[in-house]
Amino acid sequence: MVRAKCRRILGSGAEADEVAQDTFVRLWQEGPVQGAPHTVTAWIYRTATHLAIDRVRQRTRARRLAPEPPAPSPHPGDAALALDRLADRVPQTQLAAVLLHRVDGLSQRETAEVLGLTDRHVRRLIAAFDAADEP
Amino acid sequence: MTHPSPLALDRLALGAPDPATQAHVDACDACRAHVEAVCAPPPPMSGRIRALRRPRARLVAVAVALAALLVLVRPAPYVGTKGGPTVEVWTRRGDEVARWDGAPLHPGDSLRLRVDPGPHRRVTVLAGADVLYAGAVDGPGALPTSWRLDDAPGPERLRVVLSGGDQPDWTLALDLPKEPR
Repeated sequence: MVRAKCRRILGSGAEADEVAQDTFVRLWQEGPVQGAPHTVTAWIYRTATHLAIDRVRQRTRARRLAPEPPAPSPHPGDAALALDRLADRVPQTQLAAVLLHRVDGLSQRETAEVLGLTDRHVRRLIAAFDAADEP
Repeated sequence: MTHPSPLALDRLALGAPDPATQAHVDACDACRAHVEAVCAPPPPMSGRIRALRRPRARLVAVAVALAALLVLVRPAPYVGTKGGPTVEVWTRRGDEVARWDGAPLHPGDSLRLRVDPGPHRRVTVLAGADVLYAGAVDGPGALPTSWRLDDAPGPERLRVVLSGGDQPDWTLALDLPKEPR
């Protein structure tokens, strides 16, 4: 479940597996390991999404600083390519909401629950993203 | 057909009842496959395996150099299913290195794990909530870390998690009895 979630965002390369492992480790270190399924799944979706965004941001910053660009992921998906483009210019919470809603396919209510926001807040975040993304 | 979200399917797979999602899954091959993939149990295993329930924070007193344990003196049987991932426990007491035979360990003994990850690409070793090791693996071999047992009473409990690759995560809980020095 954790790996599948990460691969939806990052594609099927090693980066997705590394983020999945980081998520799993955090679950054991500080997550609701013994919690109810609703609690555990919300925690996993929230944490994996934020870790994926952080990972892509680190990579894009390193790319800017490095004399040679690092090799791209061997299996980037559409979402991974989009995330590369968006990671540095979209605020964290807004990007997490967009990824959960548009890539993971969660409803706005589910997205709000995972992120601990109100439905209305999620609607605003996605509307602001769409408005900013228009040419 | 409108499918439930992956979140709803994952929750159903983890045991959260949801009649509407369950009814959809019963009628939808794709969603049923998603749930079955999440529910897929790890391969059956033999050996001294028990569920790990309580956190232990005192397993690692000192991470010791591992050169001696690199010399694995004999091939050892695996703990696991044929062709699947395997985990071996190797111990060092003084100058004696041996594959763990199930006998109680002593404080001061060093432990090292030799892992055949099968189709997986990453390994994580936990003692309760403490991550003792996490890293990539590209084939069978000893992990580049060993641990010395402290004198805390009670068994040492480890969990080895193999992830990555195309197979479901694989987990092994090791319960290592320990007796006073």
